[in-house]
Amino acid sequence: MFASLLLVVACNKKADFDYHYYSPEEFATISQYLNLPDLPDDYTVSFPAHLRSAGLFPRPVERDKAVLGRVLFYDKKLSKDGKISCASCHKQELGFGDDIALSKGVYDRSTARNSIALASVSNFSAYYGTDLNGSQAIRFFWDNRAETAADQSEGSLTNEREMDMHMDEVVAAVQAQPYYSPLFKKAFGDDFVTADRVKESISNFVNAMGSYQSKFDEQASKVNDYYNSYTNFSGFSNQENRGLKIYQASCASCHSPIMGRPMLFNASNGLDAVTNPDDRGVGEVTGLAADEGTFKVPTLRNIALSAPYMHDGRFQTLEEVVEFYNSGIQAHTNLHQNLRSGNGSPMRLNLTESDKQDLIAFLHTLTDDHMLADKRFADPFKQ
Amino acid sequence: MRFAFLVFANVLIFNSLAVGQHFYYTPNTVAIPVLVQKQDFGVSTGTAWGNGYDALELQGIYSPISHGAIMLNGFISRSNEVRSNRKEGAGYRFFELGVGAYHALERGSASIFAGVGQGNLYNYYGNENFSDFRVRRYFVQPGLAYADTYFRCGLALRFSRLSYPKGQSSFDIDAQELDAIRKIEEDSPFFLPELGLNGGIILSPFVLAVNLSTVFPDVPGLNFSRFNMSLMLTFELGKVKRTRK
Repeated sequence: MFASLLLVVACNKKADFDYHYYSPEEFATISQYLNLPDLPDDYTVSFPAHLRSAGLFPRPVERDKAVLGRVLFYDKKLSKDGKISCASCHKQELGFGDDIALSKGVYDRSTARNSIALASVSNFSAYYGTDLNGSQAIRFFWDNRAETAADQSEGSLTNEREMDMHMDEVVAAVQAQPYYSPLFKKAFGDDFVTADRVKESISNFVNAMGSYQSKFDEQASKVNDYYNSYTNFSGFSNQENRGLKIYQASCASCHSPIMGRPMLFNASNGLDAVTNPDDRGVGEVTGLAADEGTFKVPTLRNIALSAPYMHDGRFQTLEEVVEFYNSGIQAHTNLHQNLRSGNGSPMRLNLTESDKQDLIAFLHTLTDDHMLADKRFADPFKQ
Repeated sequence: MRFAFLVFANVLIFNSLAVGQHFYYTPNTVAIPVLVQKQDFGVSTGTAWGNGYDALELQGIYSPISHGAIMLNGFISRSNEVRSNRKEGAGYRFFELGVGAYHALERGSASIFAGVGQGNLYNYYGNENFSDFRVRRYFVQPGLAYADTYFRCGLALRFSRLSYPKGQSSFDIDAQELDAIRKIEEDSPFFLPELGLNGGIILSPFVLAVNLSTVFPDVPGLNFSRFNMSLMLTFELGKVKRTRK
């Protein structure tokens, strides 16, 4: 008897429990249309040390709303022709950007401007929204007309070139789909669909998108207080380290030394000598002369993936972008002072060919492959 | 005495706050029989209390051969109330069978038992959220009991191997509960030493005893109900037979 007990004691089988998040009926409905796991993904955002030390922090994400927001983000039924979703212009493999100058919306209409990559929203999500930062808030769209990700989602849902819906049409489209009922119940306690709930859910999903596991981040986290030291990285090649130095000297004053939130909300970078009357940028929204011809200053995370570049996608490659900043800045009235030389004329970097290649090599280290492959952000719809 | 008082107070205090509480294990009363000779037989019933429950306990002991005995124990707490009536809290049913050996002493007996028990632990958290576990326990239990004409007491150690062969849980429950469940899943099986004490008065052929059982040391983060106190009434047929002779 005791030998049997010893045998039992020696047999150390681990427990293996089943967990249920949705009821069997709910999960059966969801599974007809979606590849969602039976337990919700965790969308908690946690910044690495070098971002935290700079005082950056992510906006809290509500898990169930992010789960719902993911489905809404990829749902083509929320467009007038049933063929366009948020993901049509914001592709995960491109850092949630696009690879054409002007994206294609409903009925093949071209969008007004280049799709901004969303894969690093959480890097600055705590800094947008008047509820948190008032006049210091970072905004959305090239003209900064949306204060929050929720506002941005509505702007795209209702834009006639993008998804061309009224919000009540969006609500009706959501109500018509059986898979939303259990998701709304989890997110909001009941399955009542409203425009605000749709926007809030998409906002939570977008707020969870963060890029902070790039090669640059891996190296920066190893340096004690990188924000104030800017040393060479041991894990970088010599070329990448040279490129890092050029970036810090020439680009960081606008685009951030640690790839956190951009240092400026909007600026003119001298793309044109005079403001394009068909696209006055932030000036169209604010009506201020100082904002004429200025546009949002984006983060450069995943920049190697989001060609073409600038608000109108005029530059096809990073080489063209670097050459523009090296020798092509125009003397626009509102050209930012960071891009002016001592006498006020447009800056010339005078980079050698080698310098340009170094800078481009560095920019490639800002790609976060983890984010690009993260299944939590992938298309949940069954094909 | 101070230890017993502290346990008693702890059980009463926690039991008064027991409504809706959850737990994932509790020690049933450690049976400490007094066995003298072949055909000694005793059956006990009583009420038990712990942190988050009250329960009905049943115990039986029988010696079919000299120096050999079998025991059968049962523990039933709020099982139907929680599972069927959807009352928030924990419902637990547990039955165990043990075989062992004993040696009669001048006053009392020494014994050692080993066995296995199995049961079901069901927690309801509200809003159709629940957890449901099969519990299995192997044990080895040496014990020492003292008995004179009117008084009895005993002490036993129960070395248990506690496992959860099967289980399911809703995911959308309190984070602390989910953490406990996940920790159980990760860390089981558990090897738990348990201490049993009892003391009672003998009103032949009945014995009225208070029993204290506890898991020691504490196992934090698992939401185990650590203490169990019971009041048991035992009928000892063996004693009746010996008296009649």
